Parts: sequence; structure tokens; C-alpha cells
Amino acid sequence: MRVAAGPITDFAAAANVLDRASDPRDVFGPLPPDGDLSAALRTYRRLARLVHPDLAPDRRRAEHLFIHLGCLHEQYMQLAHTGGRLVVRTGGGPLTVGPLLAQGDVTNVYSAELRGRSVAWKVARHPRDNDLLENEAHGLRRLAAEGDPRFAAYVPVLLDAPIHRDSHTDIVRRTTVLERLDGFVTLGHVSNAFVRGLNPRDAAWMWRRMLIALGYAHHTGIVHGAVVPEHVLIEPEQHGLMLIDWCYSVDTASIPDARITALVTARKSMYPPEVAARMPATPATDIYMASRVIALLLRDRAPQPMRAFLAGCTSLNPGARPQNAWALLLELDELLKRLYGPRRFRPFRLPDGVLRTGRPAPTEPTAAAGQ
Amino acid sequence: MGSGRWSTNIYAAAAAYRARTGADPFDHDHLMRTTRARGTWVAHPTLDPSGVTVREARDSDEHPASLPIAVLFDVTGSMGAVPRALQRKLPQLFGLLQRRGYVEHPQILFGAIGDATCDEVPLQVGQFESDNRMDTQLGNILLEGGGGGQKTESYELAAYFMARHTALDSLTKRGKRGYLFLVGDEMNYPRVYARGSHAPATGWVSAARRGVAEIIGDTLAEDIPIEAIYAEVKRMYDVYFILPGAAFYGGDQQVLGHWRGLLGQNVIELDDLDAVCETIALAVGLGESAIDLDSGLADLADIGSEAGASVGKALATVGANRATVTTSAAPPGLSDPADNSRAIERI
Repeated sequence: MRVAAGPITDFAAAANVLDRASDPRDVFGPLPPDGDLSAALRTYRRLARLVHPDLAPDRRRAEHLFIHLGCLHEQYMQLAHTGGRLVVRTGGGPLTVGPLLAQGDVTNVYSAELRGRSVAWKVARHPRDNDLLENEAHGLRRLAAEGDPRFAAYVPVLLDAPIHRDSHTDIVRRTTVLERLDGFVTLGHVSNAFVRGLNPRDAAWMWRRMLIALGYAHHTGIVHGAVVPEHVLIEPEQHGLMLIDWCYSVDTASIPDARITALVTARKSMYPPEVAARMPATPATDIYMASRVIALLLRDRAPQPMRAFLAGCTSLNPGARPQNAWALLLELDELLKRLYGPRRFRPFRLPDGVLRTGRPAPTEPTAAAGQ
Repeated sequence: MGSGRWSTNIYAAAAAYRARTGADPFDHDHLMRTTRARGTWVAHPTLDPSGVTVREARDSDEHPASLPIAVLFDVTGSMGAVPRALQRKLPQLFGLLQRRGYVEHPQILFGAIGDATCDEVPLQVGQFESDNRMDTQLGNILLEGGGGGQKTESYELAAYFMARHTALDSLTKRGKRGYLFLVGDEMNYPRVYARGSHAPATGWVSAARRGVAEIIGDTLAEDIPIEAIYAEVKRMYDVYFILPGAAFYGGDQQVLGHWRGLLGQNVIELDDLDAVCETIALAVGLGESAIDLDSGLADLADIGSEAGASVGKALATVGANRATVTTSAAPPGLSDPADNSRAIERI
């Protein structure tokens, strides 16, 4: 919308322009290529006279418009100084917001810069999901503060969790600022790339690392609550793994019998029954889901002992499942040794064209699954 | 509920009527006390939680950006003269919020908390209102003055009701939580009990305890631990506990520790009961980032209020760790609140 055309000479016209403006450029026009802001300043002064609460016919309305105008002008100046990029003030410094990186189930993830550092800014698309962003901030803070630092690399680094208010609509959204994760692949994409199933030897390192990540969280009392393929990122070359999207996590250390409050619809079939039944979340909830992720990757390539092992992790009764991810890892290592002999590094090659986070799409320009 | 712009004149007229006729402003309470035996007391129909689906705080043309504020106070015996003082003071809350400009469209709900192990009326909850009906509601609260002797009252029932039986447009449309103030001097029972049973034989209490099934009419599969119900209600409200110094357990460290465990720094010790409205208003103002504590206290001094010292002390810790809200244009691609397409399911 561009409404600056034509002179605005009375309160009603000014009110009309300001009411409809969601972007400062709606009022002050495109950013001047030569950086000359004097035209914008003239527009600001003219409008300020028209909607000044001491002069306008409707004082109450004028007060609102006057404040809105001030905000828009400030944003315009900011835009001009940052080359058209949105800047959000946070406790940790100004966050310069870039393009949309990815879309998660409930969030938009923007590329951003904080104190010269490349970061990801994750924003609740809809305010009713604010509680989920709060879950993520709480879970990651607890892990950073109380988790064993040796395993911190398995989860994203939370830098800040600013609350954002949209100056146009007053909508308040919870957000998180996370360290950028570039060059990773989601297990959702891995699964799609291996339609006949992944070699179990390749799935083995992913499985082991998932259990390490889960044990790290569980020892701090945090249950992830949504271990679905889209929330597991791997770094294929170095066998790195990260468990992302802690929006569904629950803190069982602070809240006895805590429940998971939302589930990912597209992966509903991968959840154990206690989640939809509003039963307490436990480490066994995550273990069930991680096992289902591995089963999905393997399709029917798993040898019989591995299928039996997976069946032993996916009982519908949470009490009948393994309760401790790290203890389960020892059992898994036994199994892998029986099947494949001593462990050794096995390079993992992804087929060409699999989408990686933070990199341009090789084939089609769709965003990677969100963080 | 909640439509109708508050007119100070109507409230003043009601007060004048009361002054003229000498009628007790707390009509329902007066009625119960004078006409019924204690064992047969009931909540006023407008405040009875039994069978209530939801109390709603909705946006309207008149109030496009409603902000729900709920104040529920303990009316058991240990509170002494506090509940009656609150009934007298709280009608001023709405006007105060408006005059200060901290909140443009407050919708206020009042309620009262008792003890489900021995009180006839352990929970009373009104409606969210934005006019003088909230004054009537306060008047209809029964000040039972019961309670047991174990330093626990049924606050958890109130938390349960607010979490499961209120609907807030501010939250679902604008991501804005409401405010819930619990005023009391004791601790929660450890669980929200699904249904009644005989109380454990502790102390002198022998009456049967009632649960959510009997008091509200909900069927719960099992009891809910208080940590879980407070986690739930905190998703909808910024929850504060106010401990009046004048109550029996005023300043009690065990009580304070219990509430700090649940609510963190949102536990307010209030020395001067006359400052209750100022304290609530200022807590809301701080929460809305409409004001900082120093300017809020300066405001109070400006209008000649002597509540400043008490309020300042009460709120000194509140907001210390509050995340600040940053205001800017929104980045592109965020949803319209009317958009109901969902990639997740709420459980």
C-alpha cells in the first residue's frame, strides 16, 4: 500500500492514512536512494500538526494517531539507516532482521544479525502459540544452566528470548534468538532421500547420537516432547546431530506429572498414546518417538534383531518401555556389536540435491523444515 | 460478558443509595448471616462455579482490546478483617486503572476462596465486567470466615477454575495474557482433588473434603498436582500472590516460600491494606510496561496518596527479572489472528 500520494490537508485524511499504515513506507514513501531524509521529515511534521492532540477535533483518537505516527517515523529512520532492514531492539542489542529462513510448524525463522553475529530469530506466527515459544526458551535455558556441558552441542544455543509487540496491531509474540545452524539436514529430508530405507549401519550413528541427546535432556528433567524427523538435524560429514524445536518440551523436574500440550499433526501417528491421552510425559515418551524415527529411516531394511530391539522400545504402555536413554544406548551398542562387530567410522554420503539448512535449495526454492 | 462502559457516576449513585438507605453493601453475605443457619449457606447464583462452562473476557466494539484482570481473595477466618476491607476498597480498582491510563480496556473479575475441606462455599467466581456490575459482584461475595487450622486453603481450586473455565480474547487474538491476583495468607493444598473424600485425620478437621466434581461439576481422571495447575494457569495469566501483613499468617516465611516456589518473584507482601488497589494497579502498569516503578510511585505521591512506601516495598522485587517487550513493525509473513489453519493440535 502506498498512500503518500496527494496532499493530506485535514485530520480525517491524516487519520485515514495512519490507520491503514502497517509499514512506515506506507506513510513516508520508498526509502530515498540518496539517503536524504528531509522529505520524510517534512511529511512527519505536516502529519504531526494535523493529528496533534492539542489541535485535532478528536483528542482521544488524536493521541493514538500521534503515537502511531511517532513510531512509524522512528521505524522509517531506522530502516533508512539499516538499508531497509527491520531492526528490533532486544536486551542483548539491536537485532537486524533479514529474510525468512524457514517455517516451522508454529514459527517463522528469520535470518538475523546480533552484535555482528549471524543468528536465527524464531517468531510465533500466531500469538496463541506464544506458550510454545516460552516452553522452548525455558527448556533451553534449563539445559544450558543445568545440563552436562559436555553434551551442549546436541541442542541449539539460546541467545535471547525477546517479547515482540507489533506496533501496528498490538499483537504480542514470543520469540527466541538462536545460534544459526547451517549445513544441517533434517531426518525428514534424509528419510525422503532414501526411499528404500537407510543402511542400518548408517542409521546406527544417528540413533546413538539421538539417545545421547535425549539422555542429556532427561538428566536435567526436560522431556523434548516432539522427537519427529523434522526436529532432528544431522551434519552428515562429521556425524553431528542436533535435537531442535524445544517448543513442545516439558520440565518434569519443576512440574510433577507435566503434560505435553500440543502435537505435530503431520506426525501424529509417531506419537505414543500417552500424549493424546493427556498422561504425564516421561523420558519413555521421547524414547518411543526416537525409536519410531529410526524405524521410519530403516523402512524394511532392519535385520530381525534390530526390529525386535525397536519393538522393545515402542510398547504402547509407557511403563513397559526403557526409561533411561543412556542405559538404552549401552544396550544398543551391544546389539550393534553383535550385528556388525566393533564400531568404526563409516562415512555417510547424502544423495545430491538434499536440502541443507542455511544454504540455497539445490533444486527448488522451498525453505527447509524449521528449527 | 463484560460489555458496558463503566460510569463513575453510576457507582457513585449506588454508593449514595447505600448511604441513604443504610443497607449493608454486602447484601448476600448479610442475607445468609441473618436468615440461614451456617451449614446451609450457599454462594450467590452469580458467583457459583458449579456447572459454569466459561467466564469470558471478550473484545467488543466498545472495548476492542480487552485486558482481563482477576482478583480472588481468601475469605477464611485467618484473614481476619481483610476480606471486608477488600470488599470496600476493590470497587476503586477499575477507576484507578482508567485514571492512570495503565490500561485502556480492563475487564475485571472478582472472586473468593475458601477451604474445600470444611467450608460450605469454598469457591466463588464472578464474571469479567467492564462496568459497575463488578461492584454488585463484590457485594454478593459471601464472607464465610471458615477454614481449617492447617495453614492451607483451596487456592488451587481457584487456579484450576481460572485455567480451565475462562476464555480470554486478549490471549487468543493478541497473545496477551491476563492478570490474576490471589490475595491470601496460607498455602495451597498439594493437589487439585478430582473428587471428594474424607479428609486425612490431621488437626481437628473431620469434615469431608469436596473436589472438582462436587464444586464445579467437572470429571477429571485423576488429581492434578499444584505445580501442574499453576503452570497451566500461568500460560493464561501473569499470576501474583498478595500476602496482607494484617492477616494471621502475614509475613510467614513458610507461606512466602511456598508461593515463591510456584510464582517466583510475583509474591507481594502488602503492609498497608488501604493500598491494595494502588498495588494491583501498579503491578498491572509495570506488567504492561506502561510505567516504571519510580514513576508509578511518583504518581501516587502527586495525588497525595500515602500508600507509596508500602506499594514501593511490595513491588520492589516484582519485575526485576521481567522480560522487556520490544515494539516494532512485524517481520513479513506472520499470520492474521483470524487464520485458523494449524500445523499442530492442542491436547
